[in-house]
Amino acid sequence: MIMRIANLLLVAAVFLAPVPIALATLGDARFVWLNYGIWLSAVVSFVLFLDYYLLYKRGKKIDFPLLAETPKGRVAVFVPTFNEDPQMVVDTLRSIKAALKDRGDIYLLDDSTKPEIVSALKTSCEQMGEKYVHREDRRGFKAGALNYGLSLISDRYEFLAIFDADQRPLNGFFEEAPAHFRDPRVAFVQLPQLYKDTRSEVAKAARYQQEPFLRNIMRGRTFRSAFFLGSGAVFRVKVLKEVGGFEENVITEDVATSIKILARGYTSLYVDTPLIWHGEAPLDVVAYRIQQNRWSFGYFQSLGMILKGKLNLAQFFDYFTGFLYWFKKGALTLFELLGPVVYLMLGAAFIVIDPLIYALAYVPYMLVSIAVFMSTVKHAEYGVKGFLYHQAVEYLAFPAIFSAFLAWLLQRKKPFRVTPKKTGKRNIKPLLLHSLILAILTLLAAMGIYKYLYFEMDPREAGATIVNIFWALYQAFFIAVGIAMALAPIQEEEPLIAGSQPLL
Amino acid sequence: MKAVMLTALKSDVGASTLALMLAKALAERGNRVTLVDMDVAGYISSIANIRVNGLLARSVDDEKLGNGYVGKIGRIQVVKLLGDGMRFFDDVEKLRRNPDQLTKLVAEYTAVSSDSDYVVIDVAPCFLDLILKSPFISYWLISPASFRIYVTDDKRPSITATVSFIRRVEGGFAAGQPFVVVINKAQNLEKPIAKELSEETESTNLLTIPFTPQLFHFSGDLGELPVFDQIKTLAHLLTIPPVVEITHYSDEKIVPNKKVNSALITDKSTLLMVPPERRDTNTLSTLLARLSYGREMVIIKSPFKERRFHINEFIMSPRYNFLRFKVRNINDVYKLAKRFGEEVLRIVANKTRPVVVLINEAELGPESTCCDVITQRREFWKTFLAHLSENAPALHTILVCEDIAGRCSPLVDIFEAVVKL
Repeated sequence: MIMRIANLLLVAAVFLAPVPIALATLGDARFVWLNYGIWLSAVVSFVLFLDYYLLYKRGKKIDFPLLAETPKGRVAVFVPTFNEDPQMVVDTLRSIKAALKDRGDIYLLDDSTKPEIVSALKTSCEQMGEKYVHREDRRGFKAGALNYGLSLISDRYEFLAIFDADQRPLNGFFEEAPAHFRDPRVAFVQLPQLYKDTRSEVAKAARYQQEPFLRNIMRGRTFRSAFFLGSGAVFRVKVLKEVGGFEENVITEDVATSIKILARGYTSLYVDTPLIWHGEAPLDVVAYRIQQNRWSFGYFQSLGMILKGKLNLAQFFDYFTGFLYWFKKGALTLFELLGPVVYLMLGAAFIVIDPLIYALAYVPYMLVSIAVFMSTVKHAEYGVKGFLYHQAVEYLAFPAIFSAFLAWLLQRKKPFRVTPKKTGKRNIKPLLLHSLILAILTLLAAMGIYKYLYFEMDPREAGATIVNIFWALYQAFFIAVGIAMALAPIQEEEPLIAGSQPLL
Repeated sequence: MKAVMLTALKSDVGASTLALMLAKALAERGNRVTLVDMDVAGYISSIANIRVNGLLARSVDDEKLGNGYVGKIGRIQVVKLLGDGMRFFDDVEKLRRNPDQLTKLVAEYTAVSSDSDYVVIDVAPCFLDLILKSPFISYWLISPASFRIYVTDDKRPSITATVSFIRRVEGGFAAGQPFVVVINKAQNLEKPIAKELSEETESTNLLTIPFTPQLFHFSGDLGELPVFDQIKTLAHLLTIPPVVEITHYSDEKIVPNKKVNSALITDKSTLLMVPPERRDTNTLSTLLARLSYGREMVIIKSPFKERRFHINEFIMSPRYNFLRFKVRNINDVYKLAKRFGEEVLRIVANKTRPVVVLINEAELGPESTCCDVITQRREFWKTFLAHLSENAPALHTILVCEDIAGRCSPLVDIFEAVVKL
């Protein structure tokens, strides 16, 4: 109960903190919502950064033993698929088999609806001697398939590993992951996936975006709030059965299932050893948005569980900031975009603050936070390019995350959409909104500059104009980079082995 | 002319120093002494300032022999027979195929050493197996070497290996036999071992020399080299005709029989060489058990090879594999070795008298492009062992090493035991 109250106080603190600032800087009464939204965005940014930095510090201290007793428990491996390229699926099965050796069995959980794919996969599984499981209905989507598989396996298996159709474990995966289960409180171990396919700029950006998350956030969450990333993890079967399997009521079962497990007092690990490769990053902006839309929608849906689940304050903080991240990248980004538009177009002073105070407070904060952030990703493959791509790609995802937010608010159900793979398209259509925003921001910034140069202004007005021009250009810059990324050419895929026979 | 051979089953036990000391003791008694360097490392030759190739290499290369391979330390004549490193193996093989060269070599050797009263031969520990098999070396061993000195240190594996070697090759211990066992550098000789050994050797074949740290500062000047009382006694014994004048040996006793050929004992303490057809896990387990002398084995292996021993088996995390490839400089090598050492100490902490078995070197040692390949591995394993012996002095370590491209050779002198696959 006390735990719950502390958690709720934290939520209240985040949403109430901007209120006094908003009251103190109240301007045009029509835009009081924008005033609050902008300050909320600043508070949320700060909270996100604080959690990020604390996790970074914590993650640096976490290390795992290098030596472990040979794990003995048998492993069941689930590969859920839905209408995916059979060749890719079979290649994945082969690589799992090679890494698994004789330590367990592979179950292909196929929900495919296309008959030719179903028969191709069935035949391949029979040839390879792997277990083929097919469902006619797609109840519960991926989580449903996993639960169905879970109901089929007996207690012979101590561990359950889950891979997506495009993930390939390396030799050593089944030695590394099960070795971390010596502590009986450990319910699952998550390993990172390396994106192999970064043939497009969007894919590269998606990979950069993962770096701070995988190298710092997840590391810091180890033994506290590490969550299941949907695949590439090994579970203790007993615990999964105890919590009633994977959560089917949300579109992405990962976060919800993790919370369910952690709320029972178990713990979870993230072991940052790259033992899974070949995963494909979304190649174009459409695929990327489908992915981000699904992830954010799943996370929004999990908010109830985060609030209700018996998480301690630290765990709650981590999960709640996860929610705040999607909230910021969707809804709050809208406020940030509207801010300069409202001021430069309508001249409405929605925030009244001495520009000098604003600049003196905000500029050092921004510089310091960027500097600290860059220092935290020094050990990752990131750099200035990573920062640029990361920011830009988040702007590209903004409409998808915002629509997920609206759908969640309106309690709409969404079907599980698999991120499209292999093919990418360069298309201006999905970029129309961004082009429009870019045009508006640039135009307004230009008008603002013109006004600043050729019209008489009092110092406060001049300061406010400069601040808004800055924000308009800042956002326009990243949006422009995002558009350029989405329109950049996509490389052809080169087969790893020339002349390999396609399955279909 | 009497020949005395000094050898050890383990390097670094002081055999070469004792050979030099014995030569000095014999010379001080007014004898003409020749010291023959049959150690590939060429320690004695280097003290004698011999810079050219040894007699073996020169004969094989068909060089003009000259007399550059003969030098002097004080009054002692030094003959560099081996001492040119690893080419020794090829040289012996060539010699085997070319009896003319062997004849020439023996003639040359006899000529330089024949007018000495004593020939003291310092035989490299790592080549005992070859020495026993090769007609070239058994020439020295069987015919003229009338007295043999087996040097060991006070570590149990090294003593046990020596004892079992002597049982096999000499046919056991008996008073009056032409050999002695010298326990050199004895500082914390466990009493039971000494007792066992002295019972075994009926005391007559045993000498114990205490650890003398001053010897580490030995500059190579013969005048500075102290001669221990025990060595003086030995020199005295050697000059008494009845004790040493053993004239006949049966070949069977010297040359190991075929049964032990699969696992020949060589090198520092014990180097088992397992032939390819016997590299299965069972054979390896048996050999390792033999090497562990009944102590508890703790197996540390890489996760990538399927070898299951079903006893105290620990795997290195695949994460470690990333670490060992990511070593950036020699400092990282030291850090990684210490980290590895700590992990090993952690898992053996609650074990009584454990033996750590590392399988296998190629998958456990550092593997980066940061530094010289041999240096980084030698430094790594040295640091690792130093870390272990600092924190757990009683811990024993066996390295299993897949001998690809001579990987293992630079490491054999570091470990107490190496199993070469």
